[in-house]
Amino acid sequence: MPDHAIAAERLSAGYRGRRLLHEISLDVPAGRITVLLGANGSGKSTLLKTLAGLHPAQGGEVRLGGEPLAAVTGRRLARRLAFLPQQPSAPETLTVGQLVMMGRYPYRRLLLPPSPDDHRAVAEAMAQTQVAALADRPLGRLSGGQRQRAWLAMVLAQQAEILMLDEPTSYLDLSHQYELLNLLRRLNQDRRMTLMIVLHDLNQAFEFADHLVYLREGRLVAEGAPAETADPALIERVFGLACEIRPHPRVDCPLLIPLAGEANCARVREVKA
Amino acid sequence: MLSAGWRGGGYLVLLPVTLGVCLLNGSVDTLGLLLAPEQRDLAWQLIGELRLPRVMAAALAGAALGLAGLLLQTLARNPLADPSIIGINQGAALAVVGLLLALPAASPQWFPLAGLAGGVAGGLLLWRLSRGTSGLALILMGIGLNSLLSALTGCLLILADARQLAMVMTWLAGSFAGLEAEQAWATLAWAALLLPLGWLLCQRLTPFLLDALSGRMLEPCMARWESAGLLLACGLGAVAVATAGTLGFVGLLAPHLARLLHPPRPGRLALPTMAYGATLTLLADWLGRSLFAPVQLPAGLMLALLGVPVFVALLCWQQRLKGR
Amino acid sequence: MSLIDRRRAWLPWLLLGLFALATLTGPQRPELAAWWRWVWAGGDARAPLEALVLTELYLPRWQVALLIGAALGSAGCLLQRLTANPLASPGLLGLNQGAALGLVCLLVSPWPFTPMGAWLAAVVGAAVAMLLVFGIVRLATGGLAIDGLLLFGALFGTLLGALVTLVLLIDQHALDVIRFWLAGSLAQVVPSQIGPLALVVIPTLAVALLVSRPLEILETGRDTAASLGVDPRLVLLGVAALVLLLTAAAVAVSGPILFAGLVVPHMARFWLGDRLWRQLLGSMLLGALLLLTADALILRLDDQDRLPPSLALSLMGVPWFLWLVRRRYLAC
Repeated sequence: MPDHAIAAERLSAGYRGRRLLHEISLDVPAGRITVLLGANGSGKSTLLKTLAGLHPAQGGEVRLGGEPLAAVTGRRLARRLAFLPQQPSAPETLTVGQLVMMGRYPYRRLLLPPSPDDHRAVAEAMAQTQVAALADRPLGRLSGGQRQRAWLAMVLAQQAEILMLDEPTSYLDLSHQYELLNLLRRLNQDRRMTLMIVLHDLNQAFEFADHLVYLREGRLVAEGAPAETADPALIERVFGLACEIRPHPRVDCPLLIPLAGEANCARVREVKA
Repeated sequence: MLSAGWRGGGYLVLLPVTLGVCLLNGSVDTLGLLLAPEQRDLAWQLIGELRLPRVMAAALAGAALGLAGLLLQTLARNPLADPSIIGINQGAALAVVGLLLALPAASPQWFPLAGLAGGVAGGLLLWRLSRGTSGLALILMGIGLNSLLSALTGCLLILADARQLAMVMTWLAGSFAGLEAEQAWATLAWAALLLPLGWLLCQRLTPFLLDALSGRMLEPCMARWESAGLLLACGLGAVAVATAGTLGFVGLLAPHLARLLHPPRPGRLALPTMAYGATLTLLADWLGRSLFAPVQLPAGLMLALLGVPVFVALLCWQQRLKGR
Repeated sequence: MSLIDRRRAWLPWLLLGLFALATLTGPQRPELAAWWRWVWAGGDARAPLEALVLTELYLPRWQVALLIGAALGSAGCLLQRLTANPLASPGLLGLNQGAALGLVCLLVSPWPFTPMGAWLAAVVGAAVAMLLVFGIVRLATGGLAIDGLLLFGALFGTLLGALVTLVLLIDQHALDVIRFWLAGSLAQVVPSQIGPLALVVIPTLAVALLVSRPLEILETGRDTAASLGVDPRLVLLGVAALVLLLTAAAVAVSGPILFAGLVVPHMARFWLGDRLWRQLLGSMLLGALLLLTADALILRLDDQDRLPPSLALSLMGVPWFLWLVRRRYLAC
């Protein structure tokens, strides 16, 4: 098995008349957590969707394991790659158990009841995300955090080796954000899953990612481990944000301190002058 | 409060009871004839030759419309989609009226084919137009397209001569009166082909419950199922239109009734939806023929009269639920 | 600043040209020359036949078309501005079917079927429909969002239409009286209807122009309007009453004519601009012209005068409506 799970080569994508991604070449390491970073509209979500085959590529190639993505069709793709969109939706009356069982769809046979394998995968996914107690509760009666965990259980039940999440933390409060990220890291360690996550919070990215990918206006600016790429000049180029990088006092990772308040900006300007 | 199992199986009791009532009750009291030994043969003849074709056609048309509604609601991810809203019914009606006017000698056996062509054209046109828009746009565009198609149908009717007019008017209002036995058998043949296909397809449509991205991750060939489901829905709607003219609201109400009592997966909803569709249509036909007894009111009219208040109440109730 | 942007002045002339073309090339074209000679000679009692065609057949019909078109166009404009949505129109909110139901009820009731009675019945029917639709939408959703209005309008339109059919199926006599009226045609119009119609429409249009300023203030939001000294509820009720009067008056005479109320305000905005009084004025003028043209075109197509002008309006209006919906919802 190659050491990269997904690779893009000179990948371009976009909508008619407007190109959003420009010739991106990228290796996503297998069994690691890769986080995509970039300002709003930099093409993070489009890159993720294109890598998942949800958005057509205009040029270049995506390779899944060793083979071209285009050659991996139908259920074979769904068994190898799972994707959780930014705003997933399902009927409010669907129960958590039914939702998670839908993740077994690529394995189910027409008209047959769920196999023991299906039940086992569902139970395991619900146990890992701690939603087993909510199995009979309809989605409409879940809190935001519970709902996100239920959806995560659904994509886990898919038992794919690659899991992509598009801004999974954006509608959660801070403690639920960290709960979810810890859960993702545990999954990564237990199951050796390859995770690709779009995140907005740079400090969360530094702490949880093994590999960072920086995008700006649809182009790849830099990629690498957090410790190598946490550089104020790079952050300013990608986000247009002045900042300072310090070592994290507790964890072995960089810590970013934004210098965006008016007072700080003035001081930065003074120092630069 | 009934237990969940009871409510879930309710349609298994409801449909046979309705079928029995519709077969036995009518302008002649068939039950009385059946109980009197010497007239039993007459009663059986009456049921077999007059009632059976009509009841069968009503049940099948209702089931087809209900299933078409379920397919459309699932594919469009929109609880308001319905064959009569997205232009299938009106397109089929226009095609059949056009056929009647162009070839007055055409036999009723050609109605289903003309209806199918018109319905598919109407449905596909709207589907193309609404691609890439949100769910509500489909309904609004359907309202617009329907008024154009019914204006065209109305104009064809004005051009028709009086003898044809009476026939077409009754047919347009959605009536099972004067249904020929041949037509009922043709409906049976079409329904026997399309209803099982629709049920099978529903088993495949589970990913359509989720949003488009999640759904496509589980089932990468969703576009194929979408086209298949759309074509099938058009076919089912057209079969019903060819049998009984334009029957509204069955396709809208039947899936909603089923959803009240069953889990929201299309595979589980298909059978109850068909049963509720058949029951609704049978009831409408029965009410229409017995309320103002010598005058036969078209079933489509009864459906509109009963269906609108029920549906409005349902919408209000769901809005209230959502608001809470 | 002149009233009309010079680059957009062609719009009414285009309609007028089409109207003239359709009228003057038809098989029953009015003999203008003969009529002019008769008028020039002093308009003696004995008019030649050619002149009679113009005065007895065409003139009343043109007057009615102008009045109804102005009424429907401005009703559509007011409704679109009141609901802040370019998709609203009286025909799509079930008002037409309500008016039809009122008329049919009058037909089967023992009261005489006079023009004034018909108009009253239509007003009552349309008012009931409007109350139903707006009331239920308000109750169900707690607001007057246009999506709900259109949906419930269509639903109640179906219900009221079914009720009309029910009455007509039970009472055959009513069907014969009302069949052509239901299609929305100008062919049945008799000259005696013009007086009452003008009496209702013209003052209502004048009031509508007067109300345009408070309505424009209301468009900035209820709270802002209240702080500017405009009673929002009063304006809302007043404008709704104007829409009802205009729609019912038009529908009572000609039957339901769909899509005039939808298309005309957009053309008026294009022609005269965005300010409410400009759009309203433009809607009146263009509505009148558009219905006149549509009627002439339909008459030209079918010289036995059986097709309603709403066919031409639907053919123009529906693609417009579809395009509007698509543009509005594509971004979401």
